[in-house]
Amino acid sequence: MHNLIKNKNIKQSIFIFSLGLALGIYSLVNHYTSRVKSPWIMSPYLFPLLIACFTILVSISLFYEAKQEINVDSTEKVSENNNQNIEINLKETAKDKVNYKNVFLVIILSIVYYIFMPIISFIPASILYIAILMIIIGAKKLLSIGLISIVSTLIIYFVFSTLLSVRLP
Amino acid sequence: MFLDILHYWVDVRFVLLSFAGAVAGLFVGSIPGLSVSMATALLVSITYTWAPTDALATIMGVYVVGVFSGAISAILINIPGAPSSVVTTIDGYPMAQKGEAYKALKYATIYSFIGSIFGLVALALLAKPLTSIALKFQPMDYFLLALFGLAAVGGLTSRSFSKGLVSALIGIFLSLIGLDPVVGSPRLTFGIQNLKAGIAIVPALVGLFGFAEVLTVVAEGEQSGTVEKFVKQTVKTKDVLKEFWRSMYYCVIGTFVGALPGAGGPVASFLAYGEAKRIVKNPSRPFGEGAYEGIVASETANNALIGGALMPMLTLAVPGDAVTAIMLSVFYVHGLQPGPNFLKTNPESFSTILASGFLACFFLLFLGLLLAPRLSKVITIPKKYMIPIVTLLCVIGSFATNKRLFDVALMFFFGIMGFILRRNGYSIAPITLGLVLGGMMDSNFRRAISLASTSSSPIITLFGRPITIVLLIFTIFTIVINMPAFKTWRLKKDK
Amino acid sequence: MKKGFVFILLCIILVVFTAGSFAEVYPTKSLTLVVPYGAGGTTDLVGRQFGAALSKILGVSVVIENQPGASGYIGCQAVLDSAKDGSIALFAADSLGTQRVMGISELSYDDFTPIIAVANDPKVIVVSKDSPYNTIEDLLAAIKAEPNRIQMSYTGPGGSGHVQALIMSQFGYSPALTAYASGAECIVAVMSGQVVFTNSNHSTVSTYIESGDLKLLAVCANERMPQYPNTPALVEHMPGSEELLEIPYTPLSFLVANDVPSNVKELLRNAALEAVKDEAFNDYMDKNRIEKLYEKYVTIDEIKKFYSEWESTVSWLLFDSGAAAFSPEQFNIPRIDQ
Repeated sequence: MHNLIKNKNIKQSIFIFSLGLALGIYSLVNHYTSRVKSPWIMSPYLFPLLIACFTILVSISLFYEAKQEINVDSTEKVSENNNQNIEINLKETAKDKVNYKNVFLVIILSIVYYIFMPIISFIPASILYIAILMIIIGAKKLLSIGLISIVSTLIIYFVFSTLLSVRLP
Repeated sequence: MFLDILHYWVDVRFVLLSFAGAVAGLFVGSIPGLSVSMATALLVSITYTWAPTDALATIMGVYVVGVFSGAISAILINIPGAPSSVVTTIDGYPMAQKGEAYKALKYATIYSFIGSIFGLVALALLAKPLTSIALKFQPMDYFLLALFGLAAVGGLTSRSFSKGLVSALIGIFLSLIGLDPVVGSPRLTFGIQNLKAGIAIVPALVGLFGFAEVLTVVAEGEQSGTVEKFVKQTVKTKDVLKEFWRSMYYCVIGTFVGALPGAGGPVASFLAYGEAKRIVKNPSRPFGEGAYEGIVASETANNALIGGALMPMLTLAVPGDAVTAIMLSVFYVHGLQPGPNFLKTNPESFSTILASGFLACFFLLFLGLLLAPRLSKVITIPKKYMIPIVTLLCVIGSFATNKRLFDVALMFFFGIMGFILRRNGYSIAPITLGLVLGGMMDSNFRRAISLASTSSSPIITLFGRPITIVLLIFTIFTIVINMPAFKTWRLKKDK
Repeated sequence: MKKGFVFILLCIILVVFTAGSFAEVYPTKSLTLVVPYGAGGTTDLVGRQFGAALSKILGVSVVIENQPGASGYIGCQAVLDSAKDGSIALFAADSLGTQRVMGISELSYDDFTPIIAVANDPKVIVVSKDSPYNTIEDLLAAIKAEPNRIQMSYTGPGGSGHVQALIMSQFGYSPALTAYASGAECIVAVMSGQVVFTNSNHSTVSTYIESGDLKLLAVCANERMPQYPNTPALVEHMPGSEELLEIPYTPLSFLVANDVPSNVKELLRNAALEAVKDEAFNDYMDKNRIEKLYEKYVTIDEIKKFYSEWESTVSWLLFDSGAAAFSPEQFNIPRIDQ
C-alpha cells in the first residue's frame, strides 16, 4: 500500500480525480446559481460537467493502469534485492541532472518581465530579460550576451512594430 | 479556365507578386508565433488599394507556403509554426534529433506540394458538389466528427491511452473558458475579466510548445536535445515518392475536412495521422519516434486542406478555417461578393485564385527544396543562442495576434503547464486538438439538442440521417478498440 | 573594433528611444481604428470603408485593428486602456449597449463619446428556396399556429437577430431559437434545412437572394426597400410595431474614449463629417443598401439620445424575455413606454 501511494502515476491519478471532482462541483454550483435560468440540456455548464465526469473516469483508468504496472514490476523483480523497477531507477538518475532551481528562476524572471514590460517599455525590458536568461542558461562571454540580447530585440522590434505595425508597449 | 490560368502564368507582375507572397509565407509560417492568419490580416490592410488580382496573387502565395512552412519549425525546434503543423512535431522532431532533419524537411516539402496541388485540383473541379455534401452536415454530425477526432487522437500520441485522454480533456476544458456561445454569459472565467474573451490558440500553442521547450532546455542544461551527429544525407526523390499512393488518401481527408466549415487544419492532420497509424503496417520507425510516414500524413492533409477550405468560402461565403475567414474580407473589400453565384459571375476571380494557388505550389516546392539543406543546419546552432531568440519570439508572437498583454501572461502559464505535463509523460499535442475542437463540440451539441427539442420526433432528428449513423458507428468503434480493457482482452486472445 | 560596434549599437538604441518622445501636432503618425469583431463581418467591412475615407481627410493612414472577443468587450476595453491622445478610436456595433444587462462587462455607451453614427444594415427575413412558406403571412401564420416550433437561427443572445425575434414574440409570434456563431452560419443553417428561417443583415444575404437560394419574405422595418418593391415591410403584418421597428438595430458608430481632449474630438468630428461625403464610401453604402445613420442622427446630441433610447428598448426587451442576467434598473436604464 505504501508503494502504491509513492508511485508517481498513482499520485497523478488521484490529483486528476480531485480536479475532475472540483470541476464537477463548480459546474453544478454555477448551474443552479446562474442568473439566466436554462434547462440542463441547454446549460452552459453541461459540457464542463460532462468533462468532469470523463476526467473522473479517466483518472480511475489511469489508477488501474498504474496499479497493473506495479503488479507486473513486483512479480518480475522478486528475485532482485531491490524492489524498485530498473526503469524507474534510470529515470531517477536522469532526473538528477534536471535543474529545477533554474526553471524556478526563469519563471520568476518571466513574471518580473511581464510586470515591468508595460512600465519600462518593450525594448529595455526585453534586452534585460534575454540577457539574464542567457546567464541562467550558462552563457559566459559578456560580449555575446550583450550582442545577442540587443541585436535580437532590436531586429524583432523592427520587424513587428515597423513592418507588421503591431503597437508594442 | 485552363487558358485563363496559363495567361496569368506568363504575366511577370503576377508571378513576382505571387513569389513575394510565397517568401513572406515561408517567413511567417516558420517563425513560431507569427501565424498565416495574422499575415493575411495584415495583407488586407496593405493590399486595400491594390487591384484584386494583385492582392489575391500575394495572399494565395502567403497562404499556401505559410501552411507548409509551419512544418519547418515543427521539425527543427519542436515548435509548430501554426496549429495545423502540431502533428508534424510528433515525428518530425524525433527525426531531426536523430540527425535526419534534411530528410524530414524533404518529405514535408514534397508531400505539402502534392497535398496543395490535390486540394486545388479538387477546388477547380469539385467545388460545387463538395460544398453541397458539406451542407448536408448538421450540428450533430459536427459534434460526432469532433468526438471521432478526439477519440482517435487519444490513442496515438501517448503510450498510455488514458494520459492522451487527460491531455485532450485539458484542451476541451480550456476551450470552454470565455463567453458561452449559446446563452452569452461568461463561464469558467473565475472572475478574471480578461478570460472572458476565451483562450486564443496562438498563445496556447506558443506557450505549450515554445516556452515549454525553453524551460526544458533550462532544466536539462545545454546538452538536452542537441544533435551530436549531423548526418549529411542524400535523400532520393524516388524513395520519397514511395508514399505517393497512401498520400492520396490523406489528400482526400484533408480536402474534405477543409470543405467542412469550421473544422480547419489541426483536425485534418490529426485525422490523417490517425489513419496513417492504422494503414501503415510496418513504419520505418514506430510512430512517434521519427517515422517519416507520420510527416507524410500530417503535411499532405494540412496542405490539401487549402483547396477544401476555399470551397465553402467561395460558394457559401462561410470560411473553412481562420485564414479563409480573413480572405473573405479581402474579397469584400475589393467589392467581390462570394456566394452561390460567385463561380459563375466571377470566373476571372476564380481563375486568379487557382492560377496563384498553383504558382504558389511550385514556389513551395522550389523554396522548400532549395532551403531544406541549409535550414536543416539550424539545429546545430548552440541552444544558448537559440533559446533567447525563441523566448522573445514566444513573447511577441503571443502578443501580436490580439495585441493583448494578457496573452503573454497566458503564454507563460501554458509554458509552465506544458513543461510539467511533458515531464510526466503527457503529450501536449492532444491539448491543441481539444482546444480547437472543444468549442465546436459544445456549441454543436447544444445546437443539435436545441433543434431536436422543438421537433416532433427528437431522436430521429438527432440520429436519423445516414451521415450521422455512419459517424456514430465510426466513433463508437474507435473508442472501443482504444479502450484499455479491449486491448488487454485482445492481447490475451492473441496469446 | 569591438568598442566601435558597441558604440554604434548604443547610438541605435538612443535614436529608437528618442524618436518616440518628440510630441507632434495631432494626428501624428496614424489613427488606429479598433473593430471589436472579427474580420469579414459587416462592422469590419463598413469600418474599413469608413477608415479609408477618413484617412483621405486626415492625411494619415487609418489602421484597422480587429480585436474580437467577448461580444466586443475586448476591443472596447482595449481602446479605454490605451493612450487617451486620440491615436486610437473605436468602430463599434450594437453589442456595446447590451454588455451590462447581459452580464458581460460594465462597459456601455456612456464610456465613449460618439463622433458620428455611421451605418445601419437593414434586417430581412429569409427562408430557403425549398421552403413551403412563400409569403410572410404564411410564415407568421405557421408561427402563430405552433408557438416555439418553427425554427429560426440567430447569432446569439443580445445580438440584433435575437432582439428582432423578441419583438416578434411581443406580437404573439414566438419562433424556436437556435444560436449560431455568425451571420453566415445562420444562412447556411437555413439553406441546409436545419432551420426554417433567419433574420439576417441584408448585405450578408443579398447574393443568395439574387441567386435564388433564399427567398426574401419581409424587411424588418417600417418601409419597404427600394430595390424590393414587392417585398412587404414587417410592420404591414405586425400592426402596432412601428415604434419598435423604427429603431436601427445594428447601429455602427465611430467613437472615442471620454478622456480624449476636446480639440481632438472636434477635429475628428469635422473629419468624419467630410469623410462620409467621400464618393467611394457612398458608392459602397449605396451598392450594399446600407442605411446612412449620419443622415438620420445628425448632431451629437441626437446620437446620444438615440443611444439611450436604443439601450432602454433593447435592455428591457432582453430582460423581460429572461435572456438578460441583470435588470436594466440596476444601471439606471429607465423603461421608455411604447
